Amino acid sequence: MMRRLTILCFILTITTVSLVTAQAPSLFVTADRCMACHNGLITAEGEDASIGTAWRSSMMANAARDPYWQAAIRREALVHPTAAAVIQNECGACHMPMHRFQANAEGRQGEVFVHLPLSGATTPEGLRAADGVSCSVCHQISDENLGEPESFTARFGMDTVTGAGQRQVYGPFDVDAGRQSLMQSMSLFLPAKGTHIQSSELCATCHTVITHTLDADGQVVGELPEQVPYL
Amino acid sequence: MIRPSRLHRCESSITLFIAAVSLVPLTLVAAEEPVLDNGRAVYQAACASCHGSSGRGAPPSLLALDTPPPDFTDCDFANREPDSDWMGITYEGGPSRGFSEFMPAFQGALTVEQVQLAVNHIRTFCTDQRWPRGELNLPRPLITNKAFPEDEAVITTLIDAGGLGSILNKFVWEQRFGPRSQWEVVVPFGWLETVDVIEDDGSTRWSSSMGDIAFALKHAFYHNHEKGSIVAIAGEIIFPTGDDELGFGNGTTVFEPFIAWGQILPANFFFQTQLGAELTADKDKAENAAFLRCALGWTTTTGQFGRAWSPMVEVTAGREFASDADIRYSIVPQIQITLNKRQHIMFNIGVREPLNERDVRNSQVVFYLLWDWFDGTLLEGW
Ligand code: HEC
Ligand code: HEC
Ligand code: HEC
Ligand code: HEC
Ligand code: HEC
Repeated sequence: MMRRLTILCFILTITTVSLVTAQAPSLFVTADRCMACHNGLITAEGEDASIGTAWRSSMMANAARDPYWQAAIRREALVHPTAAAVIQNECGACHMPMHRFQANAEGRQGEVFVHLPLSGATTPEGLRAADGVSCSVCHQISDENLGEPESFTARFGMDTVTGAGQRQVYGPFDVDAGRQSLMQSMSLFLPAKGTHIQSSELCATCHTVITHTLDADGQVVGELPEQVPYL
Repeated sequence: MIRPSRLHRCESSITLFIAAVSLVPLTLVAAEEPVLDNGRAVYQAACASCHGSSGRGAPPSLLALDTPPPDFTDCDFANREPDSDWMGITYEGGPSRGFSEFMPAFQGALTVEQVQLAVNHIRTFCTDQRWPRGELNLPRPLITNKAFPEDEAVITTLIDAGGLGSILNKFVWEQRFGPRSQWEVVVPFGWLETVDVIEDDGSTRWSSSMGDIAFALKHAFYHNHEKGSIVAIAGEIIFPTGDDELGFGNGTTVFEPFIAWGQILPANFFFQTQLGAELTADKDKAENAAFLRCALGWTTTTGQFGRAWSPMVEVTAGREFASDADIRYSIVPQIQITLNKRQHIMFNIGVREPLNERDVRNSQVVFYLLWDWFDGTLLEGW
């Protein structure tokens, strides 16, 4: 009897897990779906203002590639082997956000080491991991709790329900329907007006880093405000 | 990442639409969008960011796309595509024709007229007008040969509707070379029912064999897109590889010269005709003959740029040079349909109905499956 119940329970769990993961929509796309249209911008003064080019060489585009970060997280994991999974999930939130949030939406922890070296990425998951703080991360952050402590340490709000193809990215402007569908046809995202994108509170979601201090057993024993330029 | 927003706005508001602002001098005061009323302006604003000002494609480093844009200066590729295909792709996006999503859909952002202007501009990138335009590539009739040089594979089947059984197939491989020429190989094979002469009890038996393999060359010596005309001459040598005793061949080498003409008519009608002769090496085996074939057809599409349907009627006439021979007429009503999104796989089915000598000639069901292999593999574009 107990055995049957256990088997039933196991089957139910597997089904639920697969249902839940099947339902998690694809939240992000990599920057190659954005750059073709948002590059090649030249100001009236002749200065190249291509967004993709500017982003590509930024610290944030390379946040996951950063060897210092990779070394720091490796060290943390070596010091706290029992907490290695939690550490990877936590450190990935800002440095490898697309992979981390997609994994969490699918009920998994974000992983870091399996994706290294990032230059060899070929799978969608690997490419999301390598793309760092990509266009569709910042531009999907909603205005929920911005500026509030609840939004700090990468706890920004983001739509986790809408399926790929109908999701929105926010920007400062009203975009007409024709251009919305033009952008959607290639990037899978609809541009939508959301002036919160221009607020410093948006940046504060990741740039306010409050980490947990772990004891030798990997238990949380305190909080450390590591970076608080916004506060 | 953060930039003075107004300044940025004037570019991004037209992101694509001013890919080369150098051509459309924008000042902050005159931050209006450029007027997109000529091909160059539309192309520069909407297409050049990916396809490049030169039509060769923007540098890969700027695009970072898995599927690079095609090279529009390559006449071999560009001229064979008709405007309607390109308009469809541009208006409805790459996936509408089984291409990559990286080719966006401009419906709503540009009008059909502006898309036509952009496509007109793309046409200026190929400067070698020896390559005939894809518009002249009319739907292939079941019997009449086309004037347009092709890269395609076709398998045609003819099944007799009465009398002794006959299923004859013809596999044709066509391949272009140079701007206006093409070679082709034809391999027929089939099954024929014959009266069993050994048993001599009226029973029949089926036999199968390969037919007479043929090799042909074709050259479109005249084509004019404005006039909608294309004319080609061709010569085919048919080798006696088939078993003529069983009825699978002529038993002698045949040389078949012909001239083919395709003409676009108003209101989506078109006309194709082929005039030729069959000159045999051995008069005892087969007579010299002449033939004339014509096809009148009309094309319509599902939706503005969707699946193409081309009903056609062919009339064929053939006569052997022997003095007592009559002209044999047939009529072949048929319809050609594009099967997949990319429209490079097509099916045509019709009936070949003899108009005279009906006591010795059977009605036939004729159909083909056509694969325009230059446009993609068999599995692509569905
Ligand atoms: C809430 C977001 C967030 C989380 C979570 C986070 N970081 Fe960072 N990290 C940042 C930001 C933002 C910077 C850049 C700070 C600056 O330069 O002003 C940074 C910088 C760093 C740097 C310095 C990189 C360099 O090249 O200068 C290291 C190392 C680092 N983080 C390691 C970690 C580790 C290890 C973890 C997990 C324990 C972690 N980070 C978790 C946001 C985060
Ligand atoms: C770190 C967050 C962040 C990332 C990453 C990011 N953006 Fe932005 N983006 C912003 C912010 C903030 C604004 C608003 C700027 C303003 O109006 O002052 C903006 C504005 C824009 C605009 C509106 C036009 C404009 O210039 O104001 C476009 C288009 C845009 N970004 C595209 C992209 C693309 C494409 C990428 C990736 C290649 C990208 N962004 C990456 C934060 C980001
Ligand atoms: C998804 C999380 C995230 C968001 C949102 C975010 N950042 Fe960052 N940012 C990072 C991380 C992670 C780094 C550090 C990368 C590294 O050094 O490895 C970083 C680094 C930077 C740096 C480079 C710092 C240095 O020391 O060179 C700047 C500048 C910066 N961010 C500005 C911004 C601004 C402005 C915004 C808001 C528009 C913003 N960021 C939003 C995660 C984020
Ligand atoms: C097919 C071309 C194309 C692609 C690909 C594309 N965009 Fe856009 N994007 C546009 C156009 C066109 C506009 C509207 C410009 C206007 O209204 O003047 C736009 C506007 C925007 C805006 C401003 C929206 C607003 O409301 O202010 C943002 C942000 C943006 N895009 C981000 C992205 C991101 C992120 C990606 C990749 C996920 C992307 N774009 C991919 C064409 C594209
Ligand atoms: C965001 C980048 C991008 C923009 C903008 C763009 N294209 Fe394309 N286009 C592509 C890519 C990539 C392909 C190749 C698709 C494939 O082969 O799967 C393509 C293919 C095409 C083709 C198909 C050629 C063929 O038969 O194989 C045509 C026609 C075309 N584009 C026309 C246009 C026109 C006209 C515009 C402007 C109104 C335009 N494109 C704007 C990226 C773009």
